[in-house]
Amino acid sequence: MSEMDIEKLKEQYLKHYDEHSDALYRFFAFQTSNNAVASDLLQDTFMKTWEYIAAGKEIQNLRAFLYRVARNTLTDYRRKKKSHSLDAITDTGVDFADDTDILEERSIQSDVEYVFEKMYILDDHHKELITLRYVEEMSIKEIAEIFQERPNTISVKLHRATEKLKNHLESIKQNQDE
Amino acid sequence: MNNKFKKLINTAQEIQLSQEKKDSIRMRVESFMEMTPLRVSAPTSLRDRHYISKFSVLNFSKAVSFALIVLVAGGSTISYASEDSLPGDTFYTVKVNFTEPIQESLAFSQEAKLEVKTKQIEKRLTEAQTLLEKNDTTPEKHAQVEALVEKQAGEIAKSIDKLQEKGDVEAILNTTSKLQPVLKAHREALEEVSKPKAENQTDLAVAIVLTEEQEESTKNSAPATEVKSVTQTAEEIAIETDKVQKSENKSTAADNLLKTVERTIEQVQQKETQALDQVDQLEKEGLNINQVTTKKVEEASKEINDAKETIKKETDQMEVPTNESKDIDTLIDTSITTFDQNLKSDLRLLTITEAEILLEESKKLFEQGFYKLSLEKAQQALQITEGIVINQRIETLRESIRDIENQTKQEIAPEPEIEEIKTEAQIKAQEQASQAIQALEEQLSFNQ
Repeated sequence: MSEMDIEKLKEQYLKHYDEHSDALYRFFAFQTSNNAVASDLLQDTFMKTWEYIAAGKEIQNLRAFLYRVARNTLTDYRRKKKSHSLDAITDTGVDFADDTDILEERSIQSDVEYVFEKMYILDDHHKELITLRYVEEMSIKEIAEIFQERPNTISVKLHRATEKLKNHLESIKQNQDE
Repeated sequence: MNNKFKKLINTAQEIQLSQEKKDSIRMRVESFMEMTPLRVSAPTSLRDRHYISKFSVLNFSKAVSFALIVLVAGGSTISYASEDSLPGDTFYTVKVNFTEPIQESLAFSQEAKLEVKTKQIEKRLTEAQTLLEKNDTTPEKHAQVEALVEKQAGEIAKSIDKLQEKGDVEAILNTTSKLQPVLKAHREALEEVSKPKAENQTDLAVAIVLTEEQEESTKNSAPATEVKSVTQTAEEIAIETDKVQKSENKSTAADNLLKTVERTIEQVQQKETQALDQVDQLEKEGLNINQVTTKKVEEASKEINDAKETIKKETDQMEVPTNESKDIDTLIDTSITTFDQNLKSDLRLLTITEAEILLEESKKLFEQGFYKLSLEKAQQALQITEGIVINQRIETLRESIRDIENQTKQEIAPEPEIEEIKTEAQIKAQEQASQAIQALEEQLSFNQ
């Protein structure tokens, strides 16, 4: 591999970062409901994937691969955290240690909390499915590739998750929603 | 209902990383990339089926971070060159004091940091080994390596303690299992080096004694030729003694390092046994829920199998009567009932597949160690199958009731003669009625 090839590869990879970082951040934000953790996991995902590339292993579909790494990273995080109840999350709070715009950060956090509050009845698996299918608008086939399961299984699970979420949303009182 | 769902999704879609954060993570990723050298076999391009090329204009914050990236990238050429340097080399201090701490700081969790540290201690030991192999050791160089090994070992012990506070036993065991074989391999190699080569040394000692004797004899009687040979041997002896000195250096250095490594191994083993004790305790606590879950999973899979078998039997039985029946009516009747039953069994099969999926999930969760979630799933699966079983029982009960009804109907069935008479009477009545209607119609038309 020549020096030029290496530079080209790095450039391509960073382009992928620009392309997918927002979506992956959203994915982490909804699963963890914490901006700081979501950013950390995002960084970890891109580093781990690069390590894989650097080791000379082949990747067929980078987006699907990134999500697979993301899911593993998330599983590791959850295993370490073990309990991730709503109480625990509010206890942890938000880490504003960075010199980013606090106001902007706060509005993002409240949006994340809004979504999280509505989705909390779903289990982790279902939450991931709903995020990928409806927020990121991925195809069933691609989700199946990420989860490494059959498309039919994904459809069944997705259907169940959507029904559950819709019923839950219906049961929330109108004035609470406004 | 759909509006609420859509609103939720829309809010979710609007969430984005702030530009600053996006840039800062990008920078960290990029400097990490600079520090992770590519293998020769790395792919020359990255594929992405969903890749849409977008050209974003550099805004101010991006420009700033770009400048920073250039700075980091510029510094990385030195870091890269120092990668294979040894103690005594120019770049060695760069590596130990600059590149490696950055690598460590880029790792997030304690576990990742430990992994970096493990790699670093391994590197130090390999470096020491290469120095020994090259026979290029001075006490100073070795002291440097030794101090670094000791420092790293201390840090590893600290990190493990932190993990222990958190109760992350898995991470500890991960690290110790990686660390121990490395340390042990180095211990063996060092043991070999530290053993003074006895033969060499005795040989040299003999040589020295001999030359001493020679020297003394030449003092007494000194012909010119012998003096020459004596100076030659003296030079040889000087070289030899230098070698001895070096190999002594080597073996003491190896000896010292060996002691450090042995201490580290002891430490690691101690940490491991502590972690294992903790695991034992956790396992005892988890065993109950574990057992319950396995039981539930087994029950659910058994129920599913039973339900499948009964459905299979039912469908097998259903096909028989259609061949025997002759009457079209009964044929239609049976085909309708078989269709009905098929539909029911199909529905049941569907619910069974749902139960199977649940069970699969439960098994996966169980493997991953989420016993509580696994138990929930298994219970759900069981509930579904129990529902099927209950439905089946109700169905069989209904059938037996129907059988009884049919039997009783046959017993109290009215005699056919009476029916015939009835029908005759009915025909007569009908004829009379139609006659009456005709008469009425005639009258009506007559009136008009």
